[in-house]
Amino acid sequence: MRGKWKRLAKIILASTCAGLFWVGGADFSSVPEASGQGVFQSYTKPQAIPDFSLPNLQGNQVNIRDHRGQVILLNFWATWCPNCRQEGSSLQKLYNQYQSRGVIFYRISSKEKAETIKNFLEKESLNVPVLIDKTGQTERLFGVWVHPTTYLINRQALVSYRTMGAIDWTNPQATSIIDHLLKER
Amino acid sequence: MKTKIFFFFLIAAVLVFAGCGGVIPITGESSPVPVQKANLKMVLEENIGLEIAWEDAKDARDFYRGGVQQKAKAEKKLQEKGYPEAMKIYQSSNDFLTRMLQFMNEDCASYTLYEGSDILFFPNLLMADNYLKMGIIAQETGREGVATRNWKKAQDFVHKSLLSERTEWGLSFEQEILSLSGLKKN
Repeated sequence: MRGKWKRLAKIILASTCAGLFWVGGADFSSVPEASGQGVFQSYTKPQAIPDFSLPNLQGNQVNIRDHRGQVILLNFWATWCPNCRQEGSSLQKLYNQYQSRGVIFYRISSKEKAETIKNFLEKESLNVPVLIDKTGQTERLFGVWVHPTTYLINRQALVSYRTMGAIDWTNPQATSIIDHLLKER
Repeated sequence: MKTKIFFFFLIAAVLVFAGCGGVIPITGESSPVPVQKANLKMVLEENIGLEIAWEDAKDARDFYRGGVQQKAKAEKKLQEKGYPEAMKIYQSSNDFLTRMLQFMNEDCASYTLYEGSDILFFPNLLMADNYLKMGIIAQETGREGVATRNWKKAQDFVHKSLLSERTEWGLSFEQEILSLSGLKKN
């Protein structure tokens, strides 16, 4: 009788451990490129940027169509996301370097309150323009599943590059890609 | 004491296997996710926007999104009775979804990407629907053998879907496949 209980307990313990292991592995963190340090991915078949219009932190509506013909960087982020915080300061440096050269920067935050974002930006001394995607609809249009995800859009309004995960935006690869997009006509 | 240990492990096992991705099916006992909360129209709507080309699909989200987008195109072709094109696009959708299933193979009515953002995640059920429709096309064009093979595949994918997430959507597919094909329930 004792042996029977022992065997049963062992079987249940083994099943529980196997279940824990299996459930833990079944998510997108197991997918390369979906977590950690980001890499640049260029598109062999660049797609047109989806149309969207979102309010900025001042409450003014921004329509992405108004920036046709310009190089655009769209950074999907959140204040609670550690990788977004990690890349925040280098993105700010990139913004300082390139906004005067005509590159359009928007950080898009979904489902966060304007007040939360304002407090965060003030604390971190960041002033890259932010758009508020209240419903998450714009994020869905791009298919964002990971924060941060950044898209670089060329002058023809085609999505040319994507990164997922934190990027050091001051590294030569990032700046050479933006320089290349600026040179394109 | 032993009884306590037994119940501790029993409760732990139940907790582990509860919810999406559980491997112990509780079919027939839990109430299925209603069709108003999980259906094809909602899945298609969630995946509109930036189009995914096969050449540019790099990770799980791309393959899922690509599969859904191809499916949307195939559905349109099927409605227009463009059978050969629809067949090709359903196959393309399945190619995307097959890759997706290498990353994650459990359906879920509320897959949490991050807090406050959930998606309908049904790669198995979408594959099943694709095979179901490919079978219908094959039957319409007089290829009974091909139709039966597709319906068998559809049945297998519905079964996998229902094991991970019982939905009215999946259960209705199961009925439709059985009535079309005369196959027995898995």
